[in-house]
Amino acid sequence: MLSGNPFILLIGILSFVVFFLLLGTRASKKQRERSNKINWSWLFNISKNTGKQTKIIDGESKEIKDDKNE
Amino acid sequence: MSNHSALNTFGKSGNPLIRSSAFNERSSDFSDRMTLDGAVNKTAIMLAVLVTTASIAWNFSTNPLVMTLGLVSFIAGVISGVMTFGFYFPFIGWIIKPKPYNAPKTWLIYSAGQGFLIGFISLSFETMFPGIVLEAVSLTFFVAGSLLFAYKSGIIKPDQNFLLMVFAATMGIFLFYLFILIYSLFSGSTPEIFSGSGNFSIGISLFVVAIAALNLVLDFDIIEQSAEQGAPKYMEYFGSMALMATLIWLYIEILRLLAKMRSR
Repeated sequence: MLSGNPFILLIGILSFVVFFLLLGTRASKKQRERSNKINWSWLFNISKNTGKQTKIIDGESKEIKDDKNE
Repeated sequence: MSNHSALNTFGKSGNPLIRSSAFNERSSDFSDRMTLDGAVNKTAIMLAVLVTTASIAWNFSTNPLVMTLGLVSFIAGVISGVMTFGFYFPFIGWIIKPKPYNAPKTWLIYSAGQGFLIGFISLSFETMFPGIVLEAVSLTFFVAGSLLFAYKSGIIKPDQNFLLMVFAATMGIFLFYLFILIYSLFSGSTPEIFSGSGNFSIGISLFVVAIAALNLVLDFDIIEQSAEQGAPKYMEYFGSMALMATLIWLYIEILRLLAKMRSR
């Protein structure tokens, strides 16, 4: 059976609890609001039917104005 | 009859933008969006399945039925992993493209299969070095917890350069392991650099542990950003599966590193 140092077991249990608590916590503003984030949206824009990436990315479409004076 | 005749007109309209059912569909879409809590629950469930099958493998390792079941489950787990994550080969590209939407169907087979693998590997290491499994599990969660704190607090900020660096190093390790596999198939033994307990071998193990740990940061980023962007629900399963895969890799590498250090 498993054997080992109880101190290491304690560290393991504490780390396990901290890991799951932090995993459900939102990241800091510093992490969320930076401009050089990796774009992972391609992962969930793969079409189930074709297996290819869809062209329209939800939430990233922008309005195009032809007349700049408007 | 309503006093607002215009509402009645629009209510009967066939235009999908005006029909009230269109708004209902939109709101139901929001309930199908990924959340951080959902990802946490899925990770916990996957971990529970993994620990259960690992315990079966550990306790009944000599039973031929369990050994056969373990082998079949492991192969099924690998196939499930490839069906979800795809298969990338350096210099060639995607041989099988990733299909994250398969994750809700494949997570159970994947977790169970990897659990059997972990059970058999852990038992063989524990037999040789008593107490090593507990140390490796504790260290794995210590590393994962520390990196998660660094990520959530913004100490580590993964960007495109970080992704390229980690991806290139991971592919390098994959090629190295492939070379070791081919070498051991032909020679019948693994080279000293892979399984020895020399300084160079330990150095390589430390490097592999570091890269596995940095892969965790990418998994945290996938989960965080997908939840932030309101990704579909299946991304909860995908993010959790990716996290599990990296945790398993990190655990095995820590196990090997500790074994090398103990056998010196």
